[in-house]
Amino acid sequence: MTQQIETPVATGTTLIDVKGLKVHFPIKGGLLGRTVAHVKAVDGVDLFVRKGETLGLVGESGCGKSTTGRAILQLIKPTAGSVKLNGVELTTLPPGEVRKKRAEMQMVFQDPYGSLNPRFTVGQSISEPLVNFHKGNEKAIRDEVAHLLEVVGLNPAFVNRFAHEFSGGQRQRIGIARALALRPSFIVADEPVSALDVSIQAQVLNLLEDLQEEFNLTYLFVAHNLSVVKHISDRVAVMYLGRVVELADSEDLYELPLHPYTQALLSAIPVPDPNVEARRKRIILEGDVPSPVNPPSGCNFHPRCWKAQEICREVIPPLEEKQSNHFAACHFPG
Amino acid sequence: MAENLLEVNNLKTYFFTRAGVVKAVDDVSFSMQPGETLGVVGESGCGKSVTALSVMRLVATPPGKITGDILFNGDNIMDKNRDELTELRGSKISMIFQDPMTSLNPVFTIGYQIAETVKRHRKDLSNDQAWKRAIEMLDLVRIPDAKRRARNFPHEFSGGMRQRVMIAIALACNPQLLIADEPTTALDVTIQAQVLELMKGLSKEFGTAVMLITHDLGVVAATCEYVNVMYAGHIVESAPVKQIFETPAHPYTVGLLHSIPRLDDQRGVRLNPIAGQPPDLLNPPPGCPYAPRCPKVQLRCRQERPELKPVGRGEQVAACFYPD
Repeated sequence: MTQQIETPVATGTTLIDVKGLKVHFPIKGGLLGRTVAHVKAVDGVDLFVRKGETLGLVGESGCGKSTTGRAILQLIKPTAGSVKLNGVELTTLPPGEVRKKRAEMQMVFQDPYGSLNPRFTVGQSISEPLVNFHKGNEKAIRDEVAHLLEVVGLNPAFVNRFAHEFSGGQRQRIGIARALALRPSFIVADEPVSALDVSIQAQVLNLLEDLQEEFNLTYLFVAHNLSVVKHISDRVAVMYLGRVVELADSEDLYELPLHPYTQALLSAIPVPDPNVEARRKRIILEGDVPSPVNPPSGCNFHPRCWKAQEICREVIPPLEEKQSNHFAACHFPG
Repeated sequence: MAENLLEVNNLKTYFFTRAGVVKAVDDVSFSMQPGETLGVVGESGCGKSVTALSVMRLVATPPGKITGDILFNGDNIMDKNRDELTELRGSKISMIFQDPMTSLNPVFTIGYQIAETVKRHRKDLSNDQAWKRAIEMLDLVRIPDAKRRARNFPHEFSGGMRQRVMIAIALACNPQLLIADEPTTALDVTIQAQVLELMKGLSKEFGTAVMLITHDLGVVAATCEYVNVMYAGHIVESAPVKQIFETPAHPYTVGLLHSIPRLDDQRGVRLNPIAGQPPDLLNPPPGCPYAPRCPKVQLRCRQERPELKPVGRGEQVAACFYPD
């Protein structure tokens, strides 16, 4: 009975189409190491990403946003559901075929310290995907690496330096250059700026925007910082406890959030303006996010929701189009 | 003007390392009134945490070395010996750290850890009374079912609840000054809102002055009355919170405000980042530390270091030769 999002009629515009995505991690326990329970990290996610757009995926820690990003790229095997890239179903592809698809879909990681091999020079890090996919001879690859460094705003002369010789912002640029190397059409950026200081964060955000235009990229931008997500995204999906609770154009979402969780989330963010802050009414949510091992019945937000009724405890609200292009999973939206 | 609760004069905290001298805090002066909320903002490595640790005399010496005067209620903290410092910490001045997971002892119950602080400073209380006070504090920071929860261990609490326990410990002795070093950075926004609301309410209720160290300008706008902006070990601007956001005077403050995306921005507004990197504190530039990144830089900025001077708007001061 779960009503799924209708993909826009002109399927040609949809690059990524995710339906009913589930990722459950087993918890082993007891003497025999049997599976005793599951962490339902992603529990039925529906979303689609249009060609050339940036879809922001926000939520608090543990809501499954990173796992969703990884499951879309098949870096984690989904438990159930379908992921289509350009109409091709990825979840049923054999591993060799998935590997080929990786040239089209790449990832930028949060931690620029952890995602670069400390024993590799920058040149080795960036050329690795090119070598793996046999993109030309040594000379061609060397030229390409120099070009990529330039594209992300680094000096091509740095090619023989090691990751530790760079600052956090520069390392993130290296990570972006590596992701770009195979000229992918789709990039999942998982918290790409949250480890950076604000002045550097702005530099990297601008770079991501420039590259999107230059290389016709489509982004899934995963982050917890709603101000950053709003800045960079065309549309935003809000996740709570493994499900998408709201999906809309970023302007609509921020101006008229329909789901109570989105409303609370938006009102919790302090705006850097004391005049605005003095006037704002804040919705303070009670309690913490429940455990994804044993999520609440029905709408999993109901224990913290001030609008909760009997039906919220019993029936899972489907993600439905409540207004044009504005989807929400709530029995009492608005 | 009322007497200053805290007055810091020419504070310098240097670290003598093998690679050279790191001037983490370099000639910083500021003051706080009783009950005031002061925000200290800046990026990583600007010296905001070291300033706070210096006020508590919590910097390891060596390799660190603190000079200058730190007057608390007129008493110079720099002259105090170990016992006097222990007396002061936790009772008159207390501190909350960023990471509530590591600031609590995992092998003692929450109640025990609060009661321990209470007993340390209130010798007249019995164990029972200290335990009662612990439960009272847990109630105050809105831990549900405080009586039972006091017997739980830190791992049985979530991140937000642990930070509330830290606040309970910090406020258990009614301190006059609470130093909060990035208290909500590790927390999710909805939990951050809970914790900030709580801190604000409690400091008002008890008249506690709060020094809030953060990199989040939104948090500053929502909670502070007064702001110090730090850069490379110096205070570059200091003003009431409204002036910092409405009429920032130092180019660094201006740059910082322009580089953060805001929730109420219009779509398509491009961010205006600060060029370059913060300076290496082992080898800071001569003159103004911000000169290499400053869009308004002149020859003089590269030679002389500007002092904090009024910019002609009341209490607002900035360390810049050419303020806005």
